[in-house]
Amino acid sequence: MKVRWIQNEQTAQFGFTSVADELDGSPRVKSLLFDLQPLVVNPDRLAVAAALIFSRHASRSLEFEIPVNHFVAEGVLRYTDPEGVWLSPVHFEAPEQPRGSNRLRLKSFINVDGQHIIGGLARDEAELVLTRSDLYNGSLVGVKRKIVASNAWLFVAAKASGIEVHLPEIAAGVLFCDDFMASELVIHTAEPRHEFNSRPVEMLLSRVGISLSVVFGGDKRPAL
Amino acid sequence: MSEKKDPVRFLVLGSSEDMPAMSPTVARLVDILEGSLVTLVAYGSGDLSPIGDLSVEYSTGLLSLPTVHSPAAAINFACAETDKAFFVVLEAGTILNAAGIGFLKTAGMSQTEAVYVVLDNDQDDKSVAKGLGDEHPRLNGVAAGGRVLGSGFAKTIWAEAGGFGDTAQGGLDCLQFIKNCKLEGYRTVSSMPPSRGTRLVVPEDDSLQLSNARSADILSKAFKEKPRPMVSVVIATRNRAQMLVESIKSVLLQSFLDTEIIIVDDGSTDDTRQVVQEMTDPRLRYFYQSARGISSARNLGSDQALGRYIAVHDDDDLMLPWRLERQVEALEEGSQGVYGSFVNFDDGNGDLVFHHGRNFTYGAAFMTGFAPGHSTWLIEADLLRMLRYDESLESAVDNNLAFRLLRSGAHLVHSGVVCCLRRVHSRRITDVGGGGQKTGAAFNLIYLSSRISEEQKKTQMDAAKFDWGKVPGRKTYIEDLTPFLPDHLVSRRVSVADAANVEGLPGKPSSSAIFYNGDDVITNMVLEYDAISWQDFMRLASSGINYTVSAELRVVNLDSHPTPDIETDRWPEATRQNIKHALSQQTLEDAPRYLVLAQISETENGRILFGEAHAVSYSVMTKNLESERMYYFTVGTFESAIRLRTEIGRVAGNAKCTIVRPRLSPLLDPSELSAITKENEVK
Repeated sequence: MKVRWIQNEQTAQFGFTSVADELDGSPRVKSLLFDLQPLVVNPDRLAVAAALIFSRHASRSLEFEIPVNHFVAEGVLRYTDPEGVWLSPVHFEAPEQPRGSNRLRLKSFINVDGQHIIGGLARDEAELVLTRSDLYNGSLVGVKRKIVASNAWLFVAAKASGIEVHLPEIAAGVLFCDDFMASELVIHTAEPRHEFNSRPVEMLLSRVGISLSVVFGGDKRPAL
Repeated sequence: MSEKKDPVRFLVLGSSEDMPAMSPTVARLVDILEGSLVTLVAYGSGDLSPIGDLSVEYSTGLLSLPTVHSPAAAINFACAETDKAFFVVLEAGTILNAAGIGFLKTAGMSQTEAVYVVLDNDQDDKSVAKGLGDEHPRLNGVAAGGRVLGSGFAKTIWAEAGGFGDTAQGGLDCLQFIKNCKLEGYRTVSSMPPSRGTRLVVPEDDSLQLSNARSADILSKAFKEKPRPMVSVVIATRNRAQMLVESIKSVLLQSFLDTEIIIVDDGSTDDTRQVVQEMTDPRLRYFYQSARGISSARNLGSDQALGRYIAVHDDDDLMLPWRLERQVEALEEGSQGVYGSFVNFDDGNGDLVFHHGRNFTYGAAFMTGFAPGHSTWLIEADLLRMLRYDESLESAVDNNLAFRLLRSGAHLVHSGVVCCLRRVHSRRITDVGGGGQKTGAAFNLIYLSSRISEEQKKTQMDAAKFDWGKVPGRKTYIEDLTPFLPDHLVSRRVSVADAANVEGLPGKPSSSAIFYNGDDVITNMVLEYDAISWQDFMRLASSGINYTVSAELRVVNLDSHPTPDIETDRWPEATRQNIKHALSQQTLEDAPRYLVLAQISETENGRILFGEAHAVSYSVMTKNLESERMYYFTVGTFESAIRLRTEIGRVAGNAKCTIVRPRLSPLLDPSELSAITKENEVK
């Protein structure tokens, strides 16, 4: 599966798009799109975000236009164990680390009714809120909070459970973490703790210097 | 490992003729696995007892299906009946090495979401591979790399993919199964060397019955619940019982059979329920809800749909017999659906107006403000269920959904197929919706175009100007599609070249012919049928039998008479004078030209924007002292006149509108015209 970053001025959307090879499964839609461009598009973080979204459809490999750090490639290989998905091309230079140490709280697929987004953020916290791009167009940019329309919600598999439910918002957090100088992603989940194995995702994120915190007992995921 | 805990089951498939090849397959498996992990699936009417003996010898399970004659049906039955999470399927004669067997077993234990295959990469018979590749262009890599020797898959994936089908040669169609899994989003993982195997030559079986393994009768035995068809046709309806019957029949007579038809009755008070229930086809599913609107009805239809794709169909339209087959063929990798062209037909006189359909892009949306014909959509069911029709909107709902699909990154492509005949009648929602449709569409466009610069919009609109879907045969559509109009509009005469294939057609042949090809006299006869009904003609058209048809409209042609619903000579004197004036502007050399006359109430007039159309208008007072506005247009061709009349009817539902051909109208006496022309020349 080939993946490339796109900046589509014709539709005013940004993100990455995939082209499936013969043995790859077909994702529900081929592009993950946002109505706001991240300030920095780091190839390693892009690769991790793409792996979170597309690796379950990729038969053998994810190919990028820009080389990915081998350390990240190995992380994706382990994340996709036992079949293993390879990233290419790779380079062997030192990976770039996030620029800050803030916590980025992730919320997604909510209606912009004010209720969810008014709330205290600690000094070292920021928030990324994803809304459905088929209902809203554009983004709202605050100092510590961004509300961005995206089609990320379409990438939640119909029978997803546990950490799988949150993969699209985590991928978005990986892409936007530099906007908030964040190195920690925080998700809120209503999924049962005993069915929530976030370890593989945490291991993958660690390859790009990002950690993941899970707050259990969060709001129930709204009906899509 | 005990049988209960092990989620994996190896299924070895064979008929009595396959017995010689089955033995080494089983022997290899039980060399490496416990016999309890293996089940022999024996099918066909031959003597299956040797396979039973084989199962005893190796202590394997046995599933004997003497009444099932298709390998795909046998495997589907085995998967449905066996309570395991993961299956490995091997055909008799397939001998995998230890690594290949281990690969498939490990795959089953890992429970990941993928389809696993072991390929015969060493086979010499590339012609077989090429043939498969041609049939399955999306899987050329698999086919060119070799035949699928063994496949492993989770039971849930098998169910989502709709089970196995047979190849045209009567074998198990593994490649189509993989393709279906791929469309469901599941990747295929092939074994790495040295996980190889070989396949023994299995004796040919000429008596193999090529029954459709995915046909409803076999699958109803194989699946505990209703099998998943490829396409669910969803029809939302309210109080249109008679039109609905024709609409449903047009779907039942499709050449593509892997369908179900979902009728959602949105609170009908007529005999809709009765007429649907009188149609006994098992593919029909009827749902009733109290009147909640068409969006709600369509959402209910989507929720109930079992198919991988949903085909939108309106209750007053007629689906052309090739639509679903051609649209399924046109599905592209990476697209979420297809749409197509359609033809409007006037339910009063059979006039046809072609609607081509642009490629569905932002530019096309900016330029037209509308999405391509909703009633031609074939779209992924899961995606439609996620986005849903917006039940809070009163109009332009399909337009809204189309633009939301664009914003979601979905990609719909033009199938290049004329999909349906859309009935133009007085109760169309498009017409009844009136100005609300346009307002709704305008709001949708604002949502779509937000944040896109005017320059970008212009660039995209320029690109969309000539960006049409490719529709072969567009120029002959009137001739080609007239026979598919309902019986009250056309009479048909059909010639069929092969008498043997047309059993069941009503009526007697009226003539016959004998061919002579230079050497032999060919005894086939041409059979001709007069007055063949719409239903029988649809059946013939979807059967694949060669035929020729000629059809004549029953209604009187406008060339000889003006449209009968408006008596032009009853129009006010001022109208007559203005018509004469309009005609005086053209010379006789321009003829034939047509006049479109439209009388529209002032309240509706406010909604009409004719743009740059050549129109002259003035107010008139009717006998009821209501103020109305009269428009007349001169247009060059009859087709343009029809299109304009349809458009006026669309935006102003109660407009009185007619077409007049100048030299044949009683209004337009040639001497009168000549006098006016001379008068103008003098001035």
